[in-house]
Amino acid sequence: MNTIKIHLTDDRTTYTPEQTIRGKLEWQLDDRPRAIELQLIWQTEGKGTKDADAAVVQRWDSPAPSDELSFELTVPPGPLSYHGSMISILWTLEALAVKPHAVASCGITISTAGQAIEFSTADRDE
Amino acid sequence: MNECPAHLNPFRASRIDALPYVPVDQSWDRMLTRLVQMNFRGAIVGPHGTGKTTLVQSLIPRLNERGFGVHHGHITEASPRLPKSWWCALNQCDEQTIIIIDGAERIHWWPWHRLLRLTANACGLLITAHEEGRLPTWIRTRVTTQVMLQLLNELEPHGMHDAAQLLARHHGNARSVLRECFGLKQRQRPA
Repeated sequence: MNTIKIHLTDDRTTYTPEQTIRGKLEWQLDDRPRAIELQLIWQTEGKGTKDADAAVVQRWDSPAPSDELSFELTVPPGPLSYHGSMISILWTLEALAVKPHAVASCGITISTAGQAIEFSTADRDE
Repeated sequence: MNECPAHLNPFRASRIDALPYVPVDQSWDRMLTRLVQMNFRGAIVGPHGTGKTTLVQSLIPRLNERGFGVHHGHITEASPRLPKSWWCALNQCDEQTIIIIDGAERIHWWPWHRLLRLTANACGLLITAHEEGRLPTWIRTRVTTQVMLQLLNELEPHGMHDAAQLLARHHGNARSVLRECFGLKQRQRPA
């Protein structure tokens, strides 16, 4: 069975822009993968069409079938995590093994206030 | 927060986009048999919000499973032309490739005839359109009360929805119904 896991240092999932996300990737695959990729992705969720982008991508080519490695990546300046009633902006850290395929992800909050910006009556713009 | 955040709203766009096409009055097998009989050349015809694009999205993996490649293009009001890269890739298509164009009625006369010429050797050409005419109709999409109820229950299993009334108010446009449901849910606190 092909598996990949993300372990975040101190299980921390909330960061401010420019901080460093540290952690470890661990995988067990049936064959040597073409690559292991780690992506920090933002995406919108809500009423309109979904938008998404990988803000940070790290790639390791042809690693061993079973191994682990430490990673560090710098949190981009934005967009900040946001939970509105019309739209939310969500961040995800996603680890991907490419052929054989395995994927793992964990939600990340990027905020200057320790939690996602939440909807208030101020954003009632309909 | 006093309202339901968008990413927890059961009617958020990503969930709506992930809904499968629900055939009306016929099975997938029957639909695919007819498509083969039409030499994979036909049109999916129906009004706004009746499942044309959803049908295409549900069809593509079924074609892939049967060994066909798909070269898919979208034409929308925002991007009314197929990009140059799409036309270039069209030249690489072989006899196992089916060309699918969403919103084909927006193609002008000249590029449409160029398309017919360039796809003559392709395995097939499928289009979606609001009206009949450009290719023989393969499927005419529509949303019944039963289908609407199925979609609503899939997104919100314990919701109390009057599918018939919603569908009538939105003139058969399921996407519009689901947008209204997003708005209704938006004003509720998450459970």
